[in-house]
Amino acid sequence: MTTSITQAERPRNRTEYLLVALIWLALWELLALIINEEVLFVSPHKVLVALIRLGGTLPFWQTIFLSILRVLGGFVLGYLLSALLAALAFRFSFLKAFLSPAISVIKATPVASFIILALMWSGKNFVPVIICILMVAPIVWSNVLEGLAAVDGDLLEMAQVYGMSPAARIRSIYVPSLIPYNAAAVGSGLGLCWKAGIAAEVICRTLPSIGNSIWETKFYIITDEMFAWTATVVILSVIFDRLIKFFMGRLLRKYKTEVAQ
Amino acid sequence: MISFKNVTFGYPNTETPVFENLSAEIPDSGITAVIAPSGVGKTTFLRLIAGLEKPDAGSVEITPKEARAAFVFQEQRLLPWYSALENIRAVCSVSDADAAALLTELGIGADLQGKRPSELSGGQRQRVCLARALLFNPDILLLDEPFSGLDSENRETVVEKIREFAKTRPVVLVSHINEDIKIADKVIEL
Repeated sequence: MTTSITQAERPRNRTEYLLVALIWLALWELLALIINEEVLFVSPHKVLVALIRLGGTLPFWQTIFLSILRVLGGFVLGYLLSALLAALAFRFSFLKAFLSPAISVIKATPVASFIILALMWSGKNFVPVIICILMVAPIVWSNVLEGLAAVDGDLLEMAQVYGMSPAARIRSIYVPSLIPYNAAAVGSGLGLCWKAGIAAEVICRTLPSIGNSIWETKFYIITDEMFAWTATVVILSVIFDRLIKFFMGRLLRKYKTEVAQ
Repeated sequence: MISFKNVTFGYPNTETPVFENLSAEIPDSGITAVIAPSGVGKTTFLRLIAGLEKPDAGSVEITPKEARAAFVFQEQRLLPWYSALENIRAVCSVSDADAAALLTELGIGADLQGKRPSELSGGQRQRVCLARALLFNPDILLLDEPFSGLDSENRETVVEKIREFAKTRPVVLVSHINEDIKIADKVIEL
């Protein structure tokens, strides 16, 4: 299990990538021309103009910063909490049996239900954080459990014979063994956090937030800005996805696990 | 001294025990070879000394009780994400210079010391495992098929190192090759 992109998913070179992007932009522009109703559908160049206009204001950047903080904060908290719980559940089977139904419920419950419930239980500024925690928890839980089950028992036995301390075992055996599983969990978890976190901001009208900005532009029918805010979310998601893939790629290379025997 | 006193041991979910009322003594120094047909429990014998298995009945007594054993496993068991040198540093409190010096003596030169196990041959990995065991500075050295994959020159160097260790501490060696058994001072037949 890795986060690497398969050859089929990745355009073969930069030229091909640019060509594909241009074709999509041209199709978008064409569709906008056909619809010819800016309130419903905005052309890409008008979205770009709106984006540049928004980008020239300080509140735009403050809003982005706070949304990133909520999404990443929720992701990191959710990741740490569920990784810790999964590690404890691996060690104590009762805890695993106790928490597994809760994880299944979290996995099956619609995000919107959680958003409404979280809105009832907490302040609207915390709802996106709570939602991100809930989104990432089942993914990290199952990946960490799967990774721990796959840790090489022979290496653990070697560690026992040579009296490696628990900290040394975690550093030298558990962490490197878990990295491929974590790479998958981090990639898909963060993607989900972006979608669900912004959805939570829209529903809760968290202030200030990208989600609330999308809601307001819809309410006041400023469609070009609504598209621009949505494009901002996509751009941010892609940037963070690339960053995660870059760092995870480095970690995977560092701890590449060809089995020697 | 390592004493097996009426040891009975069997793995879970198996009908016949590996050992039944086994008694044996391993002297405080020298090389003791354990021989037996394949599948009769040579490795299990070492695992009982290492404390990786507990007897169902009887006892394995080691004097002094706090004696540390190092085990050169048949399957080598090196950390695949660490270099040869890092594998030693992960379990032994030795300097890089000491680890590098012993590796060099065992024919793992500076060009190989930074390589991962997957980049080394079977014999090279085996020597890294032996270096790790020796640098651990154990009270007991347990060797499971330690010469597999070694050419005659490297085998001689390894035998020399084991003999040097065995002057003051016990070495228990398991092998199915007669040539390996010849270096033993005592042979236990299971």
